[in-house]
Formats: sequence, C-alpha cells, structure tokens
Amino acid sequence: MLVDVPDFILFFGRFHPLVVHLPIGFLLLAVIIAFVSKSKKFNSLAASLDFVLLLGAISAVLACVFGYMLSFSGDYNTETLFWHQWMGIGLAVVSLLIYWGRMKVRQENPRFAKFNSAYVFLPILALLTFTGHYGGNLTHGSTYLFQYAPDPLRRMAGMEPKAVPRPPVTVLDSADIFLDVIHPVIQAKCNSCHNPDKTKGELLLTSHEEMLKGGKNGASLVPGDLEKSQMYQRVILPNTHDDYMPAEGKTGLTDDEVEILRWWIANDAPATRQMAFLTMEADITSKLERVLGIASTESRLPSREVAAADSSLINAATSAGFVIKQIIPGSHFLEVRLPFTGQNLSIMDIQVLLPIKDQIAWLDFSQGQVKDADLAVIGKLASLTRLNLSNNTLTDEGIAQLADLVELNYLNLYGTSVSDPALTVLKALPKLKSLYLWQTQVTDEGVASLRKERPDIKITLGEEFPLISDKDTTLLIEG
Amino acid sequence: MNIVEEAIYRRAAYNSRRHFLKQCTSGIGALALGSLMGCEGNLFSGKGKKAENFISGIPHFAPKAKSVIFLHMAGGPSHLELFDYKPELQKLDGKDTPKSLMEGKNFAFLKGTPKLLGPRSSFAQAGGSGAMVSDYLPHFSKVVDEVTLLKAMHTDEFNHAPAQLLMQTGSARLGKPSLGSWTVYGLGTENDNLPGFVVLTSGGGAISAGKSAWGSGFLPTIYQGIQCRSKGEPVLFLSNPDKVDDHLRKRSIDVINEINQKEYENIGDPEILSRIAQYELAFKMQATVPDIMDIQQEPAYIHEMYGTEPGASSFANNCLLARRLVEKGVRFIQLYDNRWDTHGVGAGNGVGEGMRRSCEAIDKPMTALLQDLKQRGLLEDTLVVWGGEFGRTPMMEARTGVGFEGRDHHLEAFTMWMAGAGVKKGFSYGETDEIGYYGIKDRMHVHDLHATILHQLGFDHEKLTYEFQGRNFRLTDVHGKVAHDILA
Repeated sequence: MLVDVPDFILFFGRFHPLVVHLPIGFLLLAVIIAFVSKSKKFNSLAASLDFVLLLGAISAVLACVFGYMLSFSGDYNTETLFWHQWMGIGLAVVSLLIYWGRMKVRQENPRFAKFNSAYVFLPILALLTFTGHYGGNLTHGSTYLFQYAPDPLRRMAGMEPKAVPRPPVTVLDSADIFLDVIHPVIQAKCNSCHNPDKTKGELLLTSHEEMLKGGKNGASLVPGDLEKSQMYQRVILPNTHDDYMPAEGKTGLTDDEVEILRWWIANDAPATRQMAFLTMEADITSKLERVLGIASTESRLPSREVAAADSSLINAATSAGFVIKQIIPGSHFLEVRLPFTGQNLSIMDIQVLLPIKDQIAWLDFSQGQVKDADLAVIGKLASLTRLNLSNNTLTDEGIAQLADLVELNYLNLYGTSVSDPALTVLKALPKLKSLYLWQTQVTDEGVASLRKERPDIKITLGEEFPLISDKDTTLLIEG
Repeated sequence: MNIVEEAIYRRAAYNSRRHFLKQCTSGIGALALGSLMGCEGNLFSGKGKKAENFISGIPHFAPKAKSVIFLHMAGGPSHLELFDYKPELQKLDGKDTPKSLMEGKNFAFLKGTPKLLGPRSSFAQAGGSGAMVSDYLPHFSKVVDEVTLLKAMHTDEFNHAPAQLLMQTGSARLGKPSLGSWTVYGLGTENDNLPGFVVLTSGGGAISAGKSAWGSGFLPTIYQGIQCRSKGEPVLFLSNPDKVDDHLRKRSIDVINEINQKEYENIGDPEILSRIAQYELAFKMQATVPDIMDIQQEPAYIHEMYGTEPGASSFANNCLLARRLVEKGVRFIQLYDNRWDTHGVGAGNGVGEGMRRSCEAIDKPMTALLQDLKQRGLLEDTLVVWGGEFGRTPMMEARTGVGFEGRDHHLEAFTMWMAGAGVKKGFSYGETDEIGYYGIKDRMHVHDLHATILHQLGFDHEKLTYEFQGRNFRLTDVHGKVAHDILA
C-alpha cells in the first residue's frame, strides 16, 4: 500500500464494488432496449432509452472515479488492473459519446443520423463484458470463473485441464511429504492471501519454489534452518502477535501441522520425497497419520521404497514358473510364490529371482521341496519381509544363509528340520516379529533362550493349547 | 423423363452447393466445437474416470488377509446362550416383557406379551482376556484369547432368507454379488487349478437364502462360489462319464471352447468368456479337487483334533477342508452350518438341550481350526469370521406351547467373532443392554462388518466397485464404516 494515500481516498475507493453494478445493469438494459424497441411490440420502450443510457453513463463515470481511488490500495495484479481501468474509462467515455450523439439526433442534426441505429450500442456491450470480466478476475482470481468448468470448456479458455487430485494416501510409507502433506496444508491455510492475484507481503506460497524465493520480508523457507524460515517462525508466534500468520483471524495451523512443518524444514524441506526415505522422529508418524487421516497400520513392506523392476526380468521369472504379483499399486514391491502349493521348486530355476531381489518383499515356498541349497539364493533377497518356507526339508545349515535378511518380519519354518543352532541365526534378524516353529526339532531350552533375548519375537510352537482329547464329547455326524 | 424422375431431379437440383453449406452451418460449427473441446467422449464426464478404474488382482493397500474363512451359522444362533452374558435376564426369567420392547418392532413370530427367557447355559470367564463364554462351548473357551468378539452386531432383516442375503451380499434383495465373489473379483485367485471361492455346507438341508448367498450377482459368473460336498463326489457332475477318458474329455472341451470363442467374437457377450474359463477350470479341477477333498491323507492327531470322520458330511470335516483349501491358496471359503433356528418348536429345537447338542457339533472343529491355522502360521494371513444372520430375542417364543425354550429372530443385537489377519486378540467390541436386546455401545452393522473384512483384504470398501446398469455398485452400497478399533 502506498503510504501517501489519505484514508478518505481508500474509504471512497471501497465504494467501487458497490457502485460498479449500477452501470452494468443500466448499460445492459440500454443495449437491450436499443434492440428490442425496434420491434413493434416493444417500441414504446424507445422513449426510455436515452434516460437509461444517461443513468448508465453517469454511474459508469462514478464507478471509474471510485475504482481509480481503490486502485491506490495496491493489492492487485497490475496488468489486469491496467486493462480493467482503461476499458472501464473507455466504457464511460463511449456511453457518454453515444448519449451526446443521440441528443444531436433529437435536434435533427442529419450528420448524426447513424446514432439512431441500435448497432452503436454494441461497443458498450463488448466493453461491458470485458471490463466486468477483468474486474471479476481482480477480486476472485483469474481462475475463479472456470474453476469448476468441464475440461473441454477450460481448454477453450486456454486453461490447463483440472488437476487430477493425488490419489488418497492409504499407506504412510508411500505418501509424499510435500505433495501429500505440506502442500495441502499450506493450500488450505495460507494460499487465500499468498496467491498470484493477491500477493500479500509480495509472498507467494503456491509452490515449493516460491516458498524458497520468499517475499518482501526475506526468505520464507530456508531448508534445514528453522530460525530463518519465516513460514515456521510466524506460525509459532502467539496468535495475538502482529506478525502471527495466518493474519486477520483466519484459522491457524493445528499443533500436528506445526510439528510436521518443523520436522519437514529440519529435514531440508524436500520438494518431493516419500516418507519411507525420511528420518522419522519418535511420534511424528502418528501426527502424519492423523493429518493424512489414515489408520495406523503396521507396515508389511520394507521401510524403503525401491525402483520398479525391469519388466523383462519379471517376465523371465514368470516364464520360469513363478507367480509374481505387485503387492500394492504405487509401490514396486513384489510377491512371489509357486504356481500352486506342492509344486516342486527343484525343477524351477530359482536363479531368475536374483535380478529382482530388491523388489521381492513376500515369498511363499511352502511345500515346495525347497532344499538348503536354495536358501543361498533366498538369503540374498534382502528386501524380504515375509518368508514362508514351511513343510520343506530344511536344516540349520540352510537357515544360516538367511542371516542377511534384515527386513524380515515373518518367518514360517514349521514342518522343517531346523533345530537350536538356527535360532542363534534368527536371533540376529533385527526386524523379526513372528516366527513359526511347529513340528521342528528346536528344544524348549533353545526357544526359552531366544524368547529371553528377543522378547519382541512372537514364537508359535503349536503347543500353546493342549491338543483337545476329551473323548466323552461325542460328535454329531449327520447323514 | 417421367414425372417422378422429374420430381427427383428437381429436388436434387434444389439441393445446391450453396444450400448444402447453408444447411450445414450448424453441423460444421458443431464439428469445430467438438474439436475445440478436445474430442472428449462426454462433456461432463468429470475428471479422470479412467484413473479410478480398478485393477483386478491388486488391492488398494498391503493386505493383512490373504484368505477368508466365513463360518456362517445359518438360522441365527442365540448370543444370549453363547457369548453375551446377561445375569439380569436370568433374574427376569418368566416375567412379562415390557410393552416398550414390543411396540413398533418386527418379529417373525412373537405376538402379544411374551415372557422373558433367562439364559439356558451357564457362563464362566475364559482365557487371559476374561471374556465370558458359555458352557456350551468348552473347547472354544480355551482359544477365546485368539478372537475379537463383536457383541453389538445388528442387521436390518428379521427373516432368514433376507438376513442371510444381507450378511452375504450386503443386500436383502436378490441379485447382488456375495462377499466371496467380491473378494475373488478384487484379489484374483492364488491357485489356478482350484476355484477361488468354495462353499461347504453342513447341518442338513439348504439354507433359506439358497444358492444366491454365494452367487456372483452382476459380476461375471466366474466369481461365483463353487459348492463342494464333503461326502460322495465333491463337485457334482465333475468326473468323466463312463467310457470317456481324460484325453477325450480334454479334446471335447477344447472344441467346445473354440466354438464358444467364435460365438464370443460374433456376439461379444462377456458371459461366454466366463463359460470358457469355467470349462477350463472344471477340467483342471477333475485332478485337483478329489485330491484336496480327501481328508484321509491327514494324520490321526489332526482327525482327533477336529473330530473328523472321513467320508461323513459334517461341520468338522468342512472345517478341516477349509484349512486344506487355505493351504492351497483358495481365497474365500464359506461354510454354512444349518441348524441354528432355535424357535423351540419341539424338544431339541430350543436354546436348552437342543442348542447344547448343536454346539457340540461345532465347538471342537472351530476351535481346532483356529489352533491348526495358528500352528501352521496361516492365521496371520487368514481371517476367520463366525456368526449367524441375526440373533435371538431375550423373549421366549411359545408358538407351540411352553417348555421348549425357544427364542424368536432378533435383529437388534447379536454376537459374531473374528480372528486372525490383523484382528485384535482377546478383545471384545461392543456392548448390549442388561437383557441383550439393544446394542448400547460400539454397535456394528453388517455393512460395517463387510467394510472391515474388505479392509483386511487390502480394499477400501468405497473403491471396490463394479459398474452395472449405469452406476458403480459396491458391496457396502452407500454404507459401511471400518471398525478400526478391532484392528491390531
């Protein structure tokens, strides 16, 4: 705002939006009368035309004056303002001119006979439309009118098709910190004042780039530096403080949102990054889940996302007989199993899985005649979180080769010949949470010692319930 | 040139080039407008409908459950005798029912002022969770720490057929796909040699809702449940007729499929493709199904555990089969046990001795099923659901005289349980009032149950849709809330 503008100018300036609708109505009415009074049915209206036109012209002049005063507030896009201002003035001039011309017609001045035609009103219509449209753009923003228009209409208006909203986040790890969390929050809480049409403090907050650029008070976002990042400092001020944002009593950021913003800036404020690649803090996960509105779920996938596997490699594995499936859309992790339970793995080439080892997260080879030698390959699938090897002739030597499966969460070894030495290997798997050892050769002592050292692993031996054997319970068999 | 030809000629001459252009202005304008608008199919088609299109076989998020075993106790077992312990109702035994509980309510048979009926079983605390379990279920009380009890279930229907349809298809009317069909449609099958959705029945007689309870509705029929029998031939008419060997059978199926394929190319009805897939699956099943249905392969201690008898038709055999099917990667196994309509229309039909005997038929097998799944590491990926289509009234039904201790159908409250696949262990969700009439806390509708089951299978129940007759349908229609509180 320019400092040397007296208050009364702005006071009257604010009357512009009030007055501006008068010339719109009057002049539009004048145009309509000019055309319809040509028909017999409405020719009685012709007498009122000059009066309506005069009203329109006068109110247009008034609107121009108020509008000019309002333009001193300086909150508007200058280019749009230029066109709105000069077309508005043009409109006032043209309508006065036409009125003057028609006065001459009344005085039966033959040189002005043309002013009797309805077509001289067309420039009014054109100017009215464009001035009005630019005025609307000034107050509501240039995208206001077509925001909800169907895409074909938007394309005709030279606008991008509506942005396809990001798919709702269902798994925290695959959410993007900026695109899914920070940006929507800023959009909801800050963008009503910091947008291209209403750039308070010369600050735009519509994109990551603009945040870095900052406004007239300096940088808004300094990655990694909370002290210098005004977009953080301003939101943590007490809301009675003059510099508190958002200003003017608008709804501020919630505690969760403030904490996430702090965590994001402290983590170098990336413009796009999946959660899986960020350093999580103690309770930031639950805050993120609350802000994103997703249910807290224990992740069944590795904590880090991977690139997509080459489809030719997947095809090679598929043609070797393995069933391979993407686990969830948006993530490149794969689930691998035998075509049916009981299929003999030894007639398949397990080596084809190695090129896609980063992507394989779930593997089910139960009853697959898996041998210890195959575990050398399986032990290299370092992204595995769930591994089912039940009902195979496996021994401790095989299990020793699984020591590198750092992501492993679920391991099913029931019906194998593993014994206590295998447990010392499994003990070192950092993320192991469930272990199935029914019908194996592990001893009570071995299990007890594992339970003692790793109380977080749930071991299922299948003997937790006594086998039911009360014979007196007779069973009804129906025919 | 005769007069007719002349008329034609005149008419043709009248359509001059100028005339053509003049008449076509609007047409040409429309063409131009179309191209300006980017040739979109529908002006108001909205944003990116294609992006929402569902990819079969890939869920919305990492699934907790790979398979579901749904133990449906057809008829509606009494919650008041099994899980919902109501000492207050015992005190009111034989008293008149307050009018307020009868007015404006629908019951199948209750009329006038019935007497209240106290629980006919006794209860004891079981497991570490301290849940109250009836003495009708001595075995199950040992594994109650594995399950989440849903004590304030409610439904919309008080008659068997519509209530069973609602429980299985999400709609009391015929024609909607069943829960199992939706599941297989969404996740596909894990085993190409077996159907993805298998139905096993016990308890005698067909259930009231009939085969519609496992129908595929408007989904392609390849997703419908396939009923297997545990006695005699597992699937009727599957084996080769006399003097037809596998080779001939295969050749004839190949020819039939070829004809069907041509028919499909001519007509384009997708049901023909379903038919082709069914022929192929049926041929594969000839080899796999008799093998998988042969429970004699199981060791003796397993038979002892489940209480199975090879060759018989029983709930126990079906439970064991369910485990075998899960092991082989069958997606959805639906068991119906049809003996729970305890009106008390005769001795042995009430909630007293009759129900105690019914419980004997399911107690040991369903307990064994949970144990067996658990020791094999399958319970982590398998969701087991137990329950009827509705509950029973706290009031006694005395249609055929007093003394048989019957209860009428009750839609306001009943108990179900879920276990495995990320459901809390040893947890109880929901409460009913002192007499078990209304749910008063954490009520859960059948739609909520469906939403929760789909959630564990990796689906957002609002997004698993199928377009039919101009709109997208889903299992929960416009209802359903996932009960996050019961998920671990």
